[in-house]
Amino acid sequence: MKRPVIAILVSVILLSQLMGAAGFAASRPRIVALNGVTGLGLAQLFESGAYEMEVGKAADVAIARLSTGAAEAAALPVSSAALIRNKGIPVVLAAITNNGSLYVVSRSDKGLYEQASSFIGVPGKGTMPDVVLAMLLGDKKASTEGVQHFASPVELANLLVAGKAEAAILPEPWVSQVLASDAALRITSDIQAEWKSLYGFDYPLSCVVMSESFVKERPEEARKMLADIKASVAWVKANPDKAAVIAEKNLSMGSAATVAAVPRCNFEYLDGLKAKSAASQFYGKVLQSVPAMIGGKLPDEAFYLNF
Amino acid sequence: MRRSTLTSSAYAAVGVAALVAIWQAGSMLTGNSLLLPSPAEALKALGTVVRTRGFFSDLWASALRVLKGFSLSYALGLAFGAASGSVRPVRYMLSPLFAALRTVPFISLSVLAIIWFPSGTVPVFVAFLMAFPIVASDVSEGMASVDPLLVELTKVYKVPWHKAVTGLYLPSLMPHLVSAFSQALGMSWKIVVSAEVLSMPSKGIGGRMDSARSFLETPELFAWTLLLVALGFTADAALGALRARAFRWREGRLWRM
Amino acid sequence: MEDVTVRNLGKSFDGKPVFSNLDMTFVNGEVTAVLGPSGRGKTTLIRVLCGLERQDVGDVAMPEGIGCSVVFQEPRLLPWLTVEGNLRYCMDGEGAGRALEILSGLGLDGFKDRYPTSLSGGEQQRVNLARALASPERVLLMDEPFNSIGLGMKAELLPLLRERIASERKTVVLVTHSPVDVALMADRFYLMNDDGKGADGPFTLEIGKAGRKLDDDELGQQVHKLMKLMASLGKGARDPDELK
Repeated sequence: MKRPVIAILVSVILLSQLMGAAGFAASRPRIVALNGVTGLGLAQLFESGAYEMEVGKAADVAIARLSTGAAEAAALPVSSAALIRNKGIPVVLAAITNNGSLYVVSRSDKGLYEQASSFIGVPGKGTMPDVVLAMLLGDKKASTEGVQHFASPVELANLLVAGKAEAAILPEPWVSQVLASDAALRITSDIQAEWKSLYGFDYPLSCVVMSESFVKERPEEARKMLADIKASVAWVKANPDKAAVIAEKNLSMGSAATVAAVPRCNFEYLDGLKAKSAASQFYGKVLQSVPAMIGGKLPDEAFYLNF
Repeated sequence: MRRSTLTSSAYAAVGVAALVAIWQAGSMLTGNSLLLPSPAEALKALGTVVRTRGFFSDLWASALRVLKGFSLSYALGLAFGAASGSVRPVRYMLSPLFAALRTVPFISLSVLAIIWFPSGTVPVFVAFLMAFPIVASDVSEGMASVDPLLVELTKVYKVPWHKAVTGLYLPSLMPHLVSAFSQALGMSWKIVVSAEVLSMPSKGIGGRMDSARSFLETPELFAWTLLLVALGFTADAALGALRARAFRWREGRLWRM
Repeated sequence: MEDVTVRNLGKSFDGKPVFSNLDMTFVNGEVTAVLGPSGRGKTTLIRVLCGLERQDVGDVAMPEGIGCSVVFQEPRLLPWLTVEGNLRYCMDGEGAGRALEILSGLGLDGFKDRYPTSLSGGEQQRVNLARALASPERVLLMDEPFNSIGLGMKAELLPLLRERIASERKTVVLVTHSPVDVALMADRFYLMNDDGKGADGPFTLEIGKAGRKLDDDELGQQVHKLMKLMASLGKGARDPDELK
């Protein structure tokens, strides 16, 4: 008589544990990460199982998910973050994951400004390469004759290797990828150095935004996410080869290229006031030269998350 | 005759008004102009767009590409379609080509074209390849519908080929030519703008739409769309007038018997 | 110009014979009718003669360099051209002018700017006739051309036609199933067998060649004679005297 009762009790306990676990899994925070270095910083989160990760080719996916509430957070370029905030999507800047990783790769050995006047491919409109290059050229009053836009870094990289484009401004890991594909291609400009010499600070490239509702209603999970991201960034920096494996599986990044790219990615985790300071400094500069690219104004105070 | 055209415009106006009403309702329900701006917002954005510097050069750049792609597809479509429709072995040889071109998806053509051509030519090439099989098939089928009795008449009376073309074939093919014209033109606009988004030439409507998309300017996106729709309507109207003129001879049938 | 002749002519479609063993002479400058029941055979004969079909067996002897004009069974007018436009399509300006003249002789004066869809079947057929008649070709083939023309009109029209043809001295092949047509138009005629295998003839009607304007009685007599002839040859016509 006793055994069946014990059996039932055990089953109920087990079942509730299972249901608890399932319940927990059903409300895993959903993160949209973009291909490339933007998503690379979050490599560990892909394997942790605590998050539901989605990968997008361009910011559109992230914007769609965030605006309809289908995701809690997204790894985006810093310029896109301000843009979507200014367009009324309620997100906050949670952390910066890496600083500038843009380089000019070319077959010729022209300097940046000379290259920009003859031919330089830019991957996408309103993307960080586009924004940053436009600012440098604008403030130096340099010619934009040679600036050609292409739909995506993948496409531009292919054309570069095929010899159809003489030069391109690309983010990692595509820089490493094209360097590996064609010995005639070389890094001819370090955009970070150029920026620093012109403006005096390091500009941030990738960040993570979270939806306001996520931060307000599930603050503990938000904090945990930040901690996980911080750990992931450090881990990627220290373990490029392991990170490359994850990147190849999830982020459409060739592992060899990723390994070579990590040192040039300038991974640095910033949150709270430090993130705010770095980002707002950047936005201030953008506002002076190409305001449309962040939506015409500085993001409001509430944009910057500070736990 | 006139009475019926008046009522048909009235009905069309009612149809348009209904569409706008649904749109307005939708935008009020969503309440988010990022997702669905209202008709008023879109029209306002259109006003701004039209007045920006460079508007006409963007419009002209796209229009020129449409003109080139469309004319090429129509001219070659006419030639190949006529050949295919009149010479059986040619028809058998060409039909797999037409079928293949009709099924090849736009994206494959665009991606290849981007590799082969400069960004300004890509839309022309893709528009040409996609509209060409439509025209050719239309004309080819049209050839089959040429009255064989009249073809025999032409043969028996030894009518010279140029007279046969202008007197028999072109008039017989008129409905097909008109339909192919409007289809190819409509397609060309759609395809040119889409290809421009992918190949990003420096001037063009596609580029402007893509910028609007990148900067989340949804009202501007709608504005450009409205502009293209308006262009389409004008083309349709012009074509309708042409068609009415070309088929004047049918009027006799209306009051006989 | 020599006569047009066919020797042992035969044609089949899909293995089914349409006609065979036809030996006929179409005398230069005369109207020769081929009378037979409705069916494809007679039209096919016309088509072989003008080159739209090739025979399977036998020869067609057409004088060197001579072409045919054809009056088709259907009017075959281009609907988007006026009457004048249609005529100009098939012929040069001179020929078109002749055709218009013939047309007014056929009772269609002032029709040159009308569109075919505004004409009755009979009117359209008259345009078809005028067009063929005006053609400079020496041989005129007529494929059941008067099917859509009523008896009263035939009695008026056909003598006019005969006059016109006679004045041009064309060689005419008239294919028909109507004895009235033969009586009013033909100088001589063949009677095709019902099964298409061969034809009897040539026969002539014992009435004068000139004019051929027959009043109702004369027409009736000629048709009666024809039908008796056909019945006697077993050509599917009942002996008219036996019909009560």
